[in-house]
Amino acid sequence: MANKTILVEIDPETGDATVDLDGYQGHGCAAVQEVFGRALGTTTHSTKKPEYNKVPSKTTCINR
Amino acid sequence: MSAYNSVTTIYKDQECLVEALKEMGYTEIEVHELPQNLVGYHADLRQQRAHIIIRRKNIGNASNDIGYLRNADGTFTEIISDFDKRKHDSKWSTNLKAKYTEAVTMKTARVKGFHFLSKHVVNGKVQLKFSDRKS
Repeated sequence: MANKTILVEIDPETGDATVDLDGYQGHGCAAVQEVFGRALGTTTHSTKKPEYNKVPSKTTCINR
Repeated sequence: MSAYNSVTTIYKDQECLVEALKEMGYTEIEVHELPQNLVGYHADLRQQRAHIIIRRKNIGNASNDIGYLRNADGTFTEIISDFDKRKHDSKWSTNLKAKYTEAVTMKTARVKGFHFLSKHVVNGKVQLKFSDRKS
């Protein structure tokens, strides 16, 4: 499973932040995005990376 | 998903705002449950009220109090007199906002259980990195 990282970059010219989420697939990180957006203020711009539309892989356990 | 989000900071966390003001050099900060009147440079009671107050004695001889009023929606409004805006100009406000943004980011990550990895300054920009081991 890919490492999921969150990079928050604070612009000294404005004091505002950019939140960069990496390693997530599918819509699983929407909650993380919302957590930081709500805590900091208002999300003004959102850009989805290509992985956004990937469906997360699932592991199925079979009991024998 | 993986995504970039641009977030405009709004003051709404009292604890982090106080922490940011301390980072700006103000160690004596009053925090009130109910808003208190600000005091002017003549020691006159001003009409403006605030929940977070830096008293003028901690700012400068000719200064007025600086305050932050908590609004009904939980956000804070900054109250700085025109005179004091000479020292507490837009650059000062931006620095304060950046420190507040950092404080809120660290607090949010801590509360949500994200693991802090690093803090770097790249081209003047503070970069805070966390790992998400939960989802």
